[in-house]
Amino acid sequence: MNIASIILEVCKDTHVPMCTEVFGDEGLDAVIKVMETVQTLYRHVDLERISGQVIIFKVANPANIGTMLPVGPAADFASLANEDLGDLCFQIAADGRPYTYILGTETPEVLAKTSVVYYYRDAYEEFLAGSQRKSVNRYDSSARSQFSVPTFSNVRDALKNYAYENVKESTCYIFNRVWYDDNRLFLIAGPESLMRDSLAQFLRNRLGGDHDVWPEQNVNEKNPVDIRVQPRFCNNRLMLIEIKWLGNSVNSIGHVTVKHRDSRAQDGADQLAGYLDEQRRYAPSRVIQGYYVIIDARRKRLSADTATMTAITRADGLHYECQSITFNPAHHLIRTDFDEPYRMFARPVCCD
Amino acid sequence: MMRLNPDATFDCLYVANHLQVKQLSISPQEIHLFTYLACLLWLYKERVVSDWGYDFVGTELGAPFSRDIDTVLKELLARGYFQKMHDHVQMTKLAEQPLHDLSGLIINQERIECLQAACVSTAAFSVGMVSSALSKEPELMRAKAFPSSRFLLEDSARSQLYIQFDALRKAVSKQSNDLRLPAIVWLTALYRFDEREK
Repeated sequence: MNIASIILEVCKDTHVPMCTEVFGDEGLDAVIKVMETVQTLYRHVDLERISGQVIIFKVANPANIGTMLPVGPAADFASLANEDLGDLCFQIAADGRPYTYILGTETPEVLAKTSVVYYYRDAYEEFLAGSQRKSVNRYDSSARSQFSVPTFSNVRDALKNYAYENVKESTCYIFNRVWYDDNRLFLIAGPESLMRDSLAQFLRNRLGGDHDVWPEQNVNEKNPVDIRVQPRFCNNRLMLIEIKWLGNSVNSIGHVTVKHRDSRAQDGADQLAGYLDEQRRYAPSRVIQGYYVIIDARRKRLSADTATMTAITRADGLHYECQSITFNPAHHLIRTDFDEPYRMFARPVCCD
Repeated sequence: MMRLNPDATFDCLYVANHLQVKQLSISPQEIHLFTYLACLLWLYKERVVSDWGYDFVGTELGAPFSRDIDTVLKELLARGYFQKMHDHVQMTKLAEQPLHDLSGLIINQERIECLQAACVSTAAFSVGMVSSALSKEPELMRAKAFPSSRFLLEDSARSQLYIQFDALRKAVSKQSNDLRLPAIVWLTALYRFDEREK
């Protein structure tokens, strides 16, 4: 598909052109203001804490745009930061500021007759304008909203957040495909490529405009490193990310084919240390840093040979969550180009 | 005192001011990125590339880089208009009045339209997504495919870009002449193109 046809597709199925088509330039102004306000709200409020719906709207029909401001002070999003929140509704007034709006019996559909309306509930979001509505495409699979994708300034911060946001509860839809079963006890055979794609996408979206992220880059004739990250304006800096997983993987008919435990973690660390040595010999003027990611899917007392087991208790499922891995040699302690390994525990769904 | 390119100076201040509202501080690379996007939108408006006032090269990694922007950034830091925050920069209060004065000049109104449209794209995308999308723009794709520093947007190299802009113009011009609409639509299309290529 070429860009010209994708442009037509974008005009047809996304919310910004829709709002412009319905309300003209006022619709474009309104949808941009609404998106900016949504971003501001989500910088202050954790979406996990919102149990209800979020509605933010701005009048866009020229006949209805007045200069009267709502009664009362403008909303202070910062004051919502530590609240457990139900439904939220804000109107963006003529002064460009959000004001709390009592929705009453009005629905988003009614508001949309004269306004651009943003609606969010349970990680689903859409825009309404006139009689039209379009869901918002979420390009970052781990974010709960397209408007809450934070930017990190370095790989370390990004990796720490990846562990929490994507891996812990398998919230990334790419990462979620690594599981054989719904309760996340067994991995599928060869889950590495999905883990790599998930992390590469996360890094691309979250590292701002100053890093290039390349998955599966060859560092020698045999083995590619999983991800290579390079700051865009520093040709002499290079970050290599190696990913290994621990746990049991099963083939398509449910037979356990691979069990990776602590020794596998050590193998990965040795492998990354080897890559770093090779790169140093190959490009001595480069500043190279290694990052080792271990996706930890170990479970206690899993069925040994087949994936017959379908439920697990918290005691067994989370047994390894806080059990760190002892490395010998511990490359991260004896060399400066090797970060402390990032062990990311992926939780199962427990039955109790 | 070094004489700075006035267009690059204004653009640096404008982009830093708009992006740091959302991010607190921004990386120098992001200033190069968004001024380059603004320059592309200048071409979309069928203006002459030499009227932009300064040029860009594509680095070996496929990133846009302007020597004028780089010089301006260093000088603004030295003069206290910007301050350093680790690898990032932040505009200081000292720069607010000059930016306000420059923004009022008639000569800057056409560039403001382009700079604003470039910066507004962050209402729809994270900066990382804008960067990913823009890496699929024909000139930066070429810079990445043939890694050596070379000037971007030279006469012979713009034909692919103009083909995309024609398609974009046909798709959105009935709805609005506001540059913010094609900016968001084009970046969305480039991002989708990038995703489908993977």
